[in-house]
Amino acid sequence: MNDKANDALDQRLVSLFADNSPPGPDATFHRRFMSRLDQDRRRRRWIVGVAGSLGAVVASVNLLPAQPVLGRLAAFVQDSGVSATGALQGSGIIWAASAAIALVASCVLVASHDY
Amino acid sequence: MHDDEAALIQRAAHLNDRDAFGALVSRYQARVYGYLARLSRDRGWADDLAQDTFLHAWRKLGSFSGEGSFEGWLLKVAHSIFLQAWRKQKNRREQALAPGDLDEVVPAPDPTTLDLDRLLASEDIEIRSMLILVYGHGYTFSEVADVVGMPAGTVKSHVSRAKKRIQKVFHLDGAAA
Repeated sequence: MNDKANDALDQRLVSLFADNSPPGPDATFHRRFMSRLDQDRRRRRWIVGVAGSLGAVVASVNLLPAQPVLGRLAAFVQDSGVSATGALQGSGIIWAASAAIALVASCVLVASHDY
Repeated sequence: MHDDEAALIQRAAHLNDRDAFGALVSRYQARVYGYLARLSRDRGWADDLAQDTFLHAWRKLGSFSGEGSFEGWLLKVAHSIFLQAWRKQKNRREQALAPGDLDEVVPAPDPTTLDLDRLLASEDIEIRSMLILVYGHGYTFSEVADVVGMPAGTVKSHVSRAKKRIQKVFHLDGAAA
């Protein structure tokens, strides 16, 4: 208290506070807090997991058409004489499969990381 | 700040080490709870607020710069948590604690007795907080300023005016310079 005036009332107030110290928190405070902390960590892990998974799905759906393998697949479909509808259905299945793989992979990665 | 405390903060902030943060909670729970119990004048509410304070501190631990004391930073978080909760419950709680209604809430046979509960109840929240930090925690005006988010000069003048009021209300003539 370097910059605080050190007069009689100050001393009286300091004594008053010292004589009336509040009791501490109850004995379960720390245990309850740690339990709440663990709950919060789990909840945040799942929030991050879901957000990461959605991001991975969006990224995979958007990036997949650019993959060379799809180009080759499209050429194969064209050569095989499959209809345009059939080709679209096929590529849709591939997109969905890759999105599902990305979803599972990101869930596993995120769940294994400690946030 | 002690080396072991800095190490605990480092581990909690960068490694998400719950046990390190748990050790910090053990160390400061009485100070944080005590501050909130005096400020709110309600032990049950203070318990809830202290829990919220430590949870918020855990989430925001990365923003602790290491400048100033960790306790001061925790009390700043506690102060902010309290103000948010207090504003929400202002009508329900603070109406009963308004200075004008004080005598109905805290009966005091001797109005000249300097009673801490009456004294804190007679001041508004910001001033109450400053008095607790200066006289209860031994903080300097600049440390209080960090906690309550006001300039040190403003804190000093608020405390000075509060002392004059206390002197007058509790008939402490000659107690202060």
